[in-house]
Amino acid sequence: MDSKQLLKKHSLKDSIFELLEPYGGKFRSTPGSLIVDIIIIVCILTSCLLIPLGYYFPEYDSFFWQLEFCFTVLFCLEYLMRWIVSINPITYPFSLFAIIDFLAIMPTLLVIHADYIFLPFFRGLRLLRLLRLLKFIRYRIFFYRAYIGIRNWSSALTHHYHLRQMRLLFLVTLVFWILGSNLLYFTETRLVGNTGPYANYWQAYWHIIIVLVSGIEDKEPLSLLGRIEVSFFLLIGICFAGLVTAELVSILVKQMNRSGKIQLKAPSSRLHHHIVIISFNSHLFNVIKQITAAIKGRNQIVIVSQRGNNIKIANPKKYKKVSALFGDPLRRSILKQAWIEHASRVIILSSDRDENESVLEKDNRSLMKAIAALSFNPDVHMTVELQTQDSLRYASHLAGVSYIEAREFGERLIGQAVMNPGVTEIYTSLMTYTDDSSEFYLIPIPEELVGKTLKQAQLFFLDLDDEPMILVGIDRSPDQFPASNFKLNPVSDEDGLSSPGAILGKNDNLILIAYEFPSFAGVNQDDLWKGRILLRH
Amino acid sequence: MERTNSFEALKGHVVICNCNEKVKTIVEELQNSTVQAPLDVVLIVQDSKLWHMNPSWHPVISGTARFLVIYGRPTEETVLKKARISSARASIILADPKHGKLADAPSSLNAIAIERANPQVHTVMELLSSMNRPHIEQSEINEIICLGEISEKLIASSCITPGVTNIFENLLTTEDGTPQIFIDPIPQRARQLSFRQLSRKFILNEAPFLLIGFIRNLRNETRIVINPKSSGLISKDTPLPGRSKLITMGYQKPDFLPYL
Repeated sequence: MDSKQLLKKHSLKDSIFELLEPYGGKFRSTPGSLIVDIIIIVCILTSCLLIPLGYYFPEYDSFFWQLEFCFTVLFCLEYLMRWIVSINPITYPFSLFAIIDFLAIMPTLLVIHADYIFLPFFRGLRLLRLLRLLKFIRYRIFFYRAYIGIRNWSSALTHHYHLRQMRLLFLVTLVFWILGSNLLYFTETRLVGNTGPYANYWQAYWHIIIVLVSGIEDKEPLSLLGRIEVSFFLLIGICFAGLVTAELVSILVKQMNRSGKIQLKAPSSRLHHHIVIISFNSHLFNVIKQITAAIKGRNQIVIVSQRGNNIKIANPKKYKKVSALFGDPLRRSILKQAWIEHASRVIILSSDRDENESVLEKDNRSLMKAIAALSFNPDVHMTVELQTQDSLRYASHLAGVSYIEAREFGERLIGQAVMNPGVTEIYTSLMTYTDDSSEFYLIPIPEELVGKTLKQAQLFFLDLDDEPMILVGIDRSPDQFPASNFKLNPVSDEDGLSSPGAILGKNDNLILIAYEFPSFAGVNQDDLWKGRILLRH
Repeated sequence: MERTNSFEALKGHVVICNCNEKVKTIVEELQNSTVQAPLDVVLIVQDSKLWHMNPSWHPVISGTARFLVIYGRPTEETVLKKARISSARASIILADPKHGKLADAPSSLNAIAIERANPQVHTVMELLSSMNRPHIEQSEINEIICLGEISEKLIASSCITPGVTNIFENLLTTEDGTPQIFIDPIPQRARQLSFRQLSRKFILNEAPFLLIGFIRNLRNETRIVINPKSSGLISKDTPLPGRSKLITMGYQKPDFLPYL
């Protein structure tokens, strides 16, 4: 077997394929893919916009036609490229997206040969260009993400800048403005005729807005009733100016109070595939640092803690994708606000809030939080920090939860450091996520290695130069409990994992030491979409 | 329980300074190791009352290795002499519970005293606050283990790759049938061979261990390379000089020669 066969996929053809695939929808999507997506979306929108523009501005028809011609050439190129790089070029033209792509270019191609087409049909063909909008189906994930992003951004803006209150204030002012202007206009024209400053309808609007915004009388009405009405609106204006000032001051004070602290999660912001960290202790910042380094800030992190409103940070730039939720993590409303049912991972830290609490009490509290989180999202992968091994006896009944009891690891590491001097650095390196260090990864076996022996697989990975990795073991655990039945460096016949003759089966997972999640790993799109897999790219 | 034996015959033993709840597991790990001969352990206890009040900290001694207890300050020369630090293989400095969260300072002073008494001894210190690591790294202490850091790294690793803690647990345990990581000097016959060549030899000759990396000096700096890349200053094709060390994963301390 050619050991480079696997990475051969990343040829020019595959690079183009990845570039044309919608961003984020495919494993190892590059920023270039995002740029291509945006260009295509802009082209679709502009080309569709040309249809109404052609009707409204017939004098520019030839220019619009030239533009349309350019767009069609671009879409033709896109269609051909997709066809060339498709996995199966024979069946590709009959796939849904290929048909949509063809429909997008077909009307213009027919118009080019318009000499043979009946005129009303020719006009209808132009309208058919709107079929291009169907191309958006391909970018549904992009639009969904953009929608979530804009929604979260706007809700954060609303929350931080009191936009809801401001909106209400402006709505009330608008009502008073329209009401006041009309009232004054009708009062003045009825009582004093067309001579006063409010005799002109639009002038009345101007005078009333000055009254409302500044609280100062701009032009004096001539009638007594008009003066009474203006006095009333003056009072409203004073109140309005006061309220706006109060809101602005409140925003500024809030901003000052929150500077140097982790931003609070806006109550209405929606989260998906995020990481929830429940409780606060001194490990929090380093855990965030490690996770951010590993996933390169791809996923949002939400901290749920009773100290959530007061988590101080030195460098806010590093915590852009981190927000805090203030409240008791045992309250269901708080967990709901953290969108725990849509979280990819949940981490429960051992809270150090009450120093008088015993380690067992702390563990019990952590386990209760784990149960609460699991009641929302039973499939989420959860990591719980425990203080004592005693808790593990009953904690292990919670399936799918990883427990970290640092003392146990520390004691063993101290023992090993004596027997194998220098070994702590090796473990530290394997546990640390940086661009220049290797970590353990569990990946489904590539198709090319099914039926091969472990020895062949090891040699195969040894020669994989583009992505250095070492095969160190086989994992035969069920999907929901990874690394529960595995063998590192299998040398015995235990569990049927004999080395070097062990035959790799299609359901096996490989345990690799690699710098990043291997690019050839067969990632289940469903797992990716549901956030079960956190990518490092 | 502790055995009363002569300190005179001690050689290649381990000296543990201070006692806390970790003593039991550490001593049992050192004396029940399946990959190498059980080690004699000397425990220096500062607070005898604390030691006697906590019988759960006392290790269960079942093998032939000795476990001896000395009462005194680990910084005192006489105590260290009695523990025969000059012939010790390694020393573990645990955090003294008496000092609470501020135990890092006395632990560092203990380690410095030991390094002065015997610079050859391999010192392993338990650190409580990771903030103190950069300062202590400047001293001669060989290895610093901070439980908090381990916890943080494991939590993050487990979050990114579910199940990875089981792998670390498997690697760290010394029970029979579990692999460990070993660091050994490169054998003479393997010198000037590259990581790729060595790995290929070990795989083809069905060695019971896996080569996962190496340690070598580059410009007076010791570099640990796990899973070497195919390019760069130190790659998987760079010949390994005489003073290099090989990092392996196996069930027993590796014997390279039969597989070269």
